[in-house]
Parts: sequence; C-alpha cells; structure tokens
Amino acid sequence: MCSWGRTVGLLVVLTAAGGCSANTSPPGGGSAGSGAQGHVSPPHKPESFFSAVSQLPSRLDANREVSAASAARRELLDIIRWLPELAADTDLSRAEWEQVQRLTGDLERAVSSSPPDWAAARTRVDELFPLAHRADVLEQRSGR
Amino acid sequence: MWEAIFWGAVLRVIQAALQAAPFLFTGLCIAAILHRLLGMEGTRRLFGSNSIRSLFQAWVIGMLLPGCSLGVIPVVKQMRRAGLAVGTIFAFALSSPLFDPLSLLYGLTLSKPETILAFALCSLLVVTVSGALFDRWFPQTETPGEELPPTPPGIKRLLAMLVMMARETVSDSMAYMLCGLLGVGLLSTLLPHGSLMRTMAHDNPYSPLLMTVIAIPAYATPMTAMGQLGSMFQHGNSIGAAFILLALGAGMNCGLLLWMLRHYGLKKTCVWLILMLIVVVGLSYGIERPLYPTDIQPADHTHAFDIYCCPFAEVPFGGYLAEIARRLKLESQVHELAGGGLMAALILGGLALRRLDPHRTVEAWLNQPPSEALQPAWDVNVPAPVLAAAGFVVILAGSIVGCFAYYPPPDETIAELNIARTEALGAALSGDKSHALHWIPICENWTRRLQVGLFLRRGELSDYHRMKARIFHDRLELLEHMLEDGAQQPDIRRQVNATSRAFSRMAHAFLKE
Repeated sequence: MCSWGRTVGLLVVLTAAGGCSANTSPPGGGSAGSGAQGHVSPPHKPESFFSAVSQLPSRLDANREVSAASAARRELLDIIRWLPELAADTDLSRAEWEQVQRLTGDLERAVSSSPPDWAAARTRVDELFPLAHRADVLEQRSGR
Repeated sequence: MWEAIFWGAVLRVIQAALQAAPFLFTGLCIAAILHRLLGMEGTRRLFGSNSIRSLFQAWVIGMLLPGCSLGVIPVVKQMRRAGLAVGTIFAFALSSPLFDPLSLLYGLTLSKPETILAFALCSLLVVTVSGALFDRWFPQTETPGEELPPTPPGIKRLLAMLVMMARETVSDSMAYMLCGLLGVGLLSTLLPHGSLMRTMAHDNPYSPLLMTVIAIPAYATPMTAMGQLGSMFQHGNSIGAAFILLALGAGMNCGLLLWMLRHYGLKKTCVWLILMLIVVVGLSYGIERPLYPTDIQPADHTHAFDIYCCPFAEVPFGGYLAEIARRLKLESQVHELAGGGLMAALILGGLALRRLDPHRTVEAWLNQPPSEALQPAWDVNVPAPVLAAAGFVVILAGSIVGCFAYYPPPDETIAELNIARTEALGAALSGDKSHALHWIPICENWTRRLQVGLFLRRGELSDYHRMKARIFHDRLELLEHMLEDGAQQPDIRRQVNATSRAFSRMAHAFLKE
C-alpha cells in the first residue's frame, strides 16, 4: 500500500515537474556555465565590477548596428543589470554604490529606448569608470 | 527503505507539532476568550454573519491575530457554536494562518514586497468570493449552540478560561489537530527525499497544480510559508505556486477539512472546497506573469520544499532514533519549546480534569456567584467583553513585542550570525560536510532576520543593504551546493573566502552605513 502510494506520489511530482529544468535558460539566452545544482552562471557574466565596466565601451560600439532583439543586445542589458550586484561585491561605500545604481538605471534606459541613445549611454559608462577603478584599487589594497 | 519512510514521517510530524505548538496555545487562548468572555452574542457581534461585510471583518480579524491552520480549529469551533455562517467561519480560518505580524514583516522585506501585498489582497478576494457564493447557495448554515451561564467576575473567570483551554486539548479539537499533523507524515511517506527539488518552475504550467496537490495535506506555519515564499522568489520559481503554497499550505490542512466534513457534511464541504480551489488556482494563473520578478536568474531547483519530503536519503550514522533526537535538539527554537511545554501542561491538566471531573463540577463551582460580603469595595467588576477586548489587545501586543524579540537589532544579529558563520565555514574548510550543511541554513535564517530587524527599527530597508545581504546569501547557497555535490577542497576554500568577504561587507553595511 505504502510503496504504491509512494509510486503515485513520485509519479505526480515527476509528471508535473517534467521538462522544467530543460526549459530554464539564463538571462541573455546564452548557454549556462558551470554551477552547483542549477545555480547557473551565464558565460557572459563578468567576474568583477571592474571587468563589467571595462567591457561596456566595446559592447556599446558593437551594439550600434544590431537589432534590439539580438543576443548581443540582450547580453549587454544583462551586464548592465548585473552592475549593482557586482558593485555590491566590492568595498565601495554606500554613497558610491547608490551612484552606481543610479547610473545603471540611466544606462539601461538609454540602451533600452527606441532608438537607443548611444551618446547618453557612453556618458554614463564614462561616469562609471572612476567608480570601477576605485573598486579595483580597494580590492587590490585589501590584498584579495 | 521502510524504516527510512517510517522514521522520516515520525520526524516530520514531531517537527510540525513543535512548530505548531505556540500557535496552538494562542488559538486556545482566543477560543477561551470567545467562549468565556465574549460569549455567543459578543462573538456574533465581533464577526458578523452571512454578509459581505462579515467576510471582510473575519478576514481583517484573521489577519491581525496570530495563528496557524491547526491553531484556528478550536477558534472555528467556537465561531460555529456562536451561530456564524460557514462563509464567515472559513474566511477567518483561511486568513488567520496566512499572515501574522512576524511573517508579514518578513514578507515585506523580501525583494518584491508588493508581491506579498498582492497575495494578501488575493486572499481577501478568495475568502469574499468563495464565502459570498457559498453563503448565497447555502443560506442556513448558522447553527447556534447553547449559551453558557456567565462566569462571575474575578479570578474564577480566568480559571474558567484555563479550564476550558485544558479540556479543549483532550477534546475532538485535538483529534482534528492530530489529523492535520498526520497529513505532514503522509506527504513525507509519499514523497521521497529531495523529490520536489526540481519542481515549481516558473515556465512549467503544471507548477500551480502540483502545488495544490501538495499544499492541502501540507502544514506550514505563517513564518515557514513566508520563508518558502522568499526562497521561491529568489530561485525564480512559479509565483502562482507560491500563492497556492501560502493560501493552501499555510491556510488549509487535513484536520480543518475533516472538521468541516463532520459538521457540515460531504456536499457542503465539497462545494466550498471546489469553489475555493477554483478561485485560488484561477488567481494563481492570473498573477503568474504580472508578479514574476524580472531581475533574478532562475535556478532549476530549490530546497524550500524539502520539509515536505522524506528527510532521510540513507541510514543515518547512529541510527534513526539518534538522528531524530539530534535534529530536534539542533533545530528546535526557544518559542517552539516554550509552546510545547505550555501545550504539554494543558494536555496534562485536561487529562486530569477528564479523569477526575467527568461531570464538570469544577465549571459548576466556577459559575457560582461569589458572596457580596467578601468583595472589597475597590474591587471593580470589569465587564467580560471589556476583558475580552483587552485579551485580544494583549495577544496582538504580544505578537508585536515578539517581532522585536525575534528580529533583534543588527548588532545582536551580526554577533549571532558571526557564530553561525564561523561554524559553517570552519566545518566546510575542515571537510565536515554535515556540520556545515547544518549551519548554512541557520546563517541564511539569521541573514533574513538581520534585514527584518533593520526594517523594523528604521522603517525601511535600502537597496544597498538588501543587495549586501543577497550577496552573502547567494555565496552561502553556492557553498551549500558545492558541499552537496562533493566539490574539490581548493574550490571549497575559494568559496569560503568569497563568503567570508561577503559577510564582512554585509556586517559593515548593516552596522556602519
């Protein structure tokens, strides 16, 4: 009786769960990188805040010619949205982090608008650079 | 295998009973207030009956008073005795276990507090729509019992409440509560260890339906359900399934269904259940897209529902009984043990009364009016309804004070977290996997309490603090999975360092910024 019930329980779970893991894709549509038990780290996720900001100018340039639905645009937006999280993983102060958050919001709006405001986006990235450098210096100073 | 299933069910039932104990005690207090102080007329006036307004009143009262789906059983019994309509009774029964001040605060500090507010409004919609339709189709469900003679004021009135609470613990109410707890054991018997880990995905259309099947026999306290909701949001699980978990997992259990079946019959119970399921499941599909958070990376697994599955994957070292004792000792919290102690005392008192006083002579003595000559002039008689109102205010105030105790100020929480972190990370470094896996969820729990504690005292939780806590939580979770997957020691060491750094940053943010 119990083994029958357990089989039914498991069947219900497996039927309802069927295919869910296969359908889960990381933001940006890229393939998932290695991660423990499904905690996927997309391959385009930068290692650090400094690395993320550093690659923004070239990504902005590369995105000027592509459509809004392209993988390159999705990846760019992913990186922009990760900036506050990556900045929080540094020793930047609260005021500096809030500046990153504000600039990120402006940057995302500039890139997402139709048509994108590339000049405004570039200005925001330039404003992010001193913060990224400072985060990098603090990281090196703490010997990590 | 049979041993694992049996002892797994035993552990799950005991864990659920301990979690329920404080709420059972509170439920008995509320029932005693209704029974001995407010009386049938006062209870009818408090809740109203058979109107949309009464459904709303019952929802508001349910939201304010702390309770769980087992603790409401003695309360709904009193509401039925007072002659309230089924819609009103179930509006209270469903809404009381969903939120209490502790869990609401917890919910409001999650990444999307508006989702919690939307859930609360959806629950109002569930109880008003299903309750109004039911009361319209079955208008004659009010079956008032016999009004008891009023207990004279003074110490006897309080003793009468205590006697009522004790007798209730050995009455049919306790049988229904036990049935509710057995539902947890049944689920654990049917669901193998970790079998729900990869379920409830946002893009799986069956997630809300699967949750419905699981949530009805499941039992979750408001805090447990809210913690699971937080984990579901964080892992990008189905929002509809999360709502069903709250509405049915926290709001419903087998004992409550059996109570309804016994008192209102199969037809009415089925109609009400179907009505409620249609509204709950319909709403869950409706909110899936609009409330789904867009700023998270979905993970294809979660540990949030492990508590409904068999806890044992293999024979534990030292045997099942030793493992059960170890887990209960490590995992039981102070308020659960205190609640368990109070319930044990009440049950002992109830058993003694049942055995020694089957004809209720104690109640007859308590109902005798005191001699006028013995009453001092300064001893003013407080009317019972005033005392009842004071009782409700004390329960509410107690739960607010409880919030401040359960969510301490950041400096105290960081100190506790530091101890837990040292245990978890130290164990991970030394290769003691089980010790690390025990302490990591404790760290995660303290991290949540840290955020709520700050919110409670400052009235807000900034994005900055939220993000610092999230990074520490994510690092811990990744470490947990690396340990479970048997990752290499250099990788573990790297992750331990990253987690330590995230902790230092979080501590600095919460203490200094």
